[in-house]
Amino acid sequence: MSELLNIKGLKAGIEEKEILHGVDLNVGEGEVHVIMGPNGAGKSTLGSVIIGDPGYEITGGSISFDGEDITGEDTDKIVKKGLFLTFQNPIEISGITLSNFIKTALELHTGERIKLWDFKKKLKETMEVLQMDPSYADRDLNVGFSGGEKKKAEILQLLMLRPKLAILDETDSGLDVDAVHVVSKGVEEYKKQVGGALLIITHSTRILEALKVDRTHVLVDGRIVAEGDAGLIEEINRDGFERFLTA
Amino acid sequence: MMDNTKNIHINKLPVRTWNKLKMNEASIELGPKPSQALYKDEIPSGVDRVSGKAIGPMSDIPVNTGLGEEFDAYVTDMGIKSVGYITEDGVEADAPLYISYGGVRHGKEDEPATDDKIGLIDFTVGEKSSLTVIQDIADDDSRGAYTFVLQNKYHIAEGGSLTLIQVNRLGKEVCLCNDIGGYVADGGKFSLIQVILGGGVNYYGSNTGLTGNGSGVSIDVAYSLDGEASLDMNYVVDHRGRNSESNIGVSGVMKGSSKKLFRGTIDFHKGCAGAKGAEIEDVLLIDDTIVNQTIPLILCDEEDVEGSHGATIGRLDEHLLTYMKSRGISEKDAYVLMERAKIDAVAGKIEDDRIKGIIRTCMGDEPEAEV
Amino acid sequence: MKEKTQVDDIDRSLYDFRFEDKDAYKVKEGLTEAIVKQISDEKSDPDWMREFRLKALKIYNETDVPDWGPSLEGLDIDNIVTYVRPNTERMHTSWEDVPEDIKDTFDRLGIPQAERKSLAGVGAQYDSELVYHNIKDDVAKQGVIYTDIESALRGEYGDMIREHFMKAVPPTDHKFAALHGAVWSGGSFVYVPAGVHLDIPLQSYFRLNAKGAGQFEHTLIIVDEGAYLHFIEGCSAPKYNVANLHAGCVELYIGKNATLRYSTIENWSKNMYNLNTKRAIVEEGGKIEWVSGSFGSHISYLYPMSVLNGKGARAEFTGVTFAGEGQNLDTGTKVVHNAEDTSSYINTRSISKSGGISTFRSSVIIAKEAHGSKSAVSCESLMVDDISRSDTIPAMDIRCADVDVGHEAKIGRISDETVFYLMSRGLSEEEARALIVRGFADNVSKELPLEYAVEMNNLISLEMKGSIG
Repeated sequence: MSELLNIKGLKAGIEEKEILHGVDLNVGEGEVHVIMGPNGAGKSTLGSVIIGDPGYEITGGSISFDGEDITGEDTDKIVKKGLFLTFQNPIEISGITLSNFIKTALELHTGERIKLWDFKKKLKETMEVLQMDPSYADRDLNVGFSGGEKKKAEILQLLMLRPKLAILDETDSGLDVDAVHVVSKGVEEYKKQVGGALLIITHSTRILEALKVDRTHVLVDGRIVAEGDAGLIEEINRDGFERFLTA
Repeated sequence: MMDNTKNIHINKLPVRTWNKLKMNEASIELGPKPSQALYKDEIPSGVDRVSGKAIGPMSDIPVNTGLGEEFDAYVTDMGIKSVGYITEDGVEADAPLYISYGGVRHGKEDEPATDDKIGLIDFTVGEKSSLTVIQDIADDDSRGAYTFVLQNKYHIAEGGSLTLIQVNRLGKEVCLCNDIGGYVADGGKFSLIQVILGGGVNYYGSNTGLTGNGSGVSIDVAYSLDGEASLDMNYVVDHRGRNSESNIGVSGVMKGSSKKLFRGTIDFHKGCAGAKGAEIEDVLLIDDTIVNQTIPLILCDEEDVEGSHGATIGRLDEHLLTYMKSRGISEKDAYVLMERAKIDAVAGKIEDDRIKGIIRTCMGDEPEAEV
Repeated sequence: MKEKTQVDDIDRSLYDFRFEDKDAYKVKEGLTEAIVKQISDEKSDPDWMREFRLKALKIYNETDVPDWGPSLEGLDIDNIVTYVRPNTERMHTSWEDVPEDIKDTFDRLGIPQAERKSLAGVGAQYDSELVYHNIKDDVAKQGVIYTDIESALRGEYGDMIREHFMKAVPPTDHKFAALHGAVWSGGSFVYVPAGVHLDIPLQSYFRLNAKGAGQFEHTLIIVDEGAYLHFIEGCSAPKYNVANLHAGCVELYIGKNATLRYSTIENWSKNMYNLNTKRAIVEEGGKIEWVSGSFGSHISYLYPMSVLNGKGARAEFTGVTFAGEGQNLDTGTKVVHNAEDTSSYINTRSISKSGGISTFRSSVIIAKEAHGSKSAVSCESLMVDDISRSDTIPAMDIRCADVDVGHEAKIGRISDETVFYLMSRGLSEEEARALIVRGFADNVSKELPLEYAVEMNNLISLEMKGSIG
């Protein structure tokens, strides 16, 4: 399989403090990768740095996507190449409806106007998959949404924007069993409809159950300390991160 | 005629502060003899129109208005009759009372009027009645620079509710004096929604007397100012009744050399125990040539109250920008989107499709077939 | 049962005692050109200062009293004795030489003890004159100057003072700044040379003892490039039944990358009109930190102002105001952002009790040039009972788009649940309420050196006594 995301010796952090101390990671087209690690390992930082969050500074290494160097590129330009990151705490914006927001983003991705009728139809179908009440389409983005509804709204955007690589940042945290099930279904749907690659950041494994994982990476203290296939997940489930933690 | 103009002070801050800031009040020149503003109204069943003072119950209480005493005295001196709308007790109007000032012929044929206009309206909402009023404030056949004086007074009886929606889409050379004032009795509710897209020099003032126990007011204002436009505001809520509640939200976008001054006062008078008042202001600044002034007052003469004020002024929040960019929306596009969102957030509270359509047209939307 | 062991139990008479001033020299009541000249003669002013005073008097006569803020009707300038010189040969550098009654005053206020314990230098002003000034040897060796401003005016720092005197606060600023310019007397001059970092604070203490007198001390502090200073100011006066007036002036010049922390716990007697003007001019990368506690006076107009003139200059203001019976305290702060990347952070608490009125008043101005500036204002008010009053009047004027301005204000009361909870743990209602109020004011107390924090908490407990029923 050809390489989609290629990260070499990535060092990054906030102001003076380095969080990632040289991370190497390759994700091929359509592959499913999982990044696991204890709290504070730098998992979320990695996701944010990949899409060019200006809150972090890249101090070394490089990131390329789909054959292009995207290190230091503006976030909006990066994601238009086909990247997507779900947020743990997506922002609330009053005055912009969920529907209007997705339509705007979609038009900016494709560079062409989308027919309202087609869009609404597609949106309605997708919301059904996620068991979202259709009235949410006309509600202001994330305003007054519960934690679960916000996560679903993120997955809805994933399904509508159809990226080549989706980074899911702790999408399952703080959700009850039913909500996790719906979100998992959304992710499966993404695999099925788009066939894109996934980079799943998690410290639990509930969301992975229905997915075929190609590769697992363990991130500790800003470094990848172990890699393996899906079997590694089971091992972590059983034994925790203990053996990866150096004293 | 020019010699007879009157200089009056309006929009006075209830408590003064440093004069150097030039926020204590505004002053304005008003012409001696404005003519009665023409309008078209569509009256739903259950609402009666009367000429002259409609407000029985409040005729013996002087109504304070936002623009203030001097302005009220000027209006009274003009000797122009007000139009009154009354709902009896227990009436829920089935449709909004729609008042439009746009497109009404004023002068003779082929002779556009340019003189100043004045419109005075009184509302009386009976016990447990509810009424929604929409005012489409647009130019009639007048052109160029003129002054439009509009004053709305209201009395809301026990358990009654009045929603006043005003959309300003006047021309850029027009001066609008938009004055509102009234009382809310026990359990009554006044809602004010103002969308400001036009006018060159705008003076907005509102004074709500929450005299009744459990009475409430909510005020939502959205504005978009560009070029040389100015907006001078004075919103006052007088909490007198026990457990009365107020919410003031003002949100806008400033571009070009526009100027804005927001005065917002929550006044907890002695005896309003259990009252709550909150003010929120949110201003998105686009150009370095703007002048943005804000002075939110909380005056408190009662122990058992909760008051709060919050303001966010400046550029777009970084987290919001990051989120937008993560969905492929550039900083420039994000600003365009958010300018629009400020108006839409307030327009979204309006339930009438006709006036919403007018707002959309003003915002430059192409008409799109409804799905 | 004796209460002696309780920290809370302090005696108001600590501040209320007074000595007869029969031997002191006074000018006639009221304010005329002759009086101003007499003060000038008495002080052996240089010519420029004499002219300055007379010009200021003219401005004073031409300026109106403010038409906003608490009423000043009770203040009749014709009845305020402008200049009261204590009966002593001016300045001393040893407490032993200070006359007994004056020394006794400062002893009771704990000033000499504090100097021995924790201060780098102390100045003490009694009525219109500075009576004591001392600075530790090692501090003086670093080139730090801490002296009375009048003798400094005639000495080698004369030019430096002339260059800065009433330049931050010109007499045209307002009526009482003009009054100050005409009759100012006493006060301190501090100069911290470039790069000198003073680890322990300097302190000055102002005591107004004479009846019906005005205190008009001038404080001028210059902190040169990269230097650091913490300056503490304390004030008190005994209670007479005629009005006293305090119209001091504090001018602070903070050089490039320098920092000055200016802390005040003000506890004037409750007949005092406190119309004090404080202002800091901050250069590139410099910082002013105001810590301000207002507890005393009958009426206060107090708004320390920060003018951020250099790129990246910063201002912090942390304040608490406690208005009790008969008090109308109008306090707050002003900030002017004149340069790029400047920032201000304002955090205040106001408490109103027993019919007291507290007003928080502020202004934040961001000029056209101040790109990238930030300002955050947070003010909270607490109503202790239903006969008091609390107003919040914050103004903002922003003329630049590329800024980040936030403001929040809150007003509320002591929650019954909290009082009940504390009572369930054995506190009396009075103790519970005092504890809550002290906690409410901790934004300031935690910024103060320990002994001052303790004194402030004692003041709050004292004010909260008898607040039940």
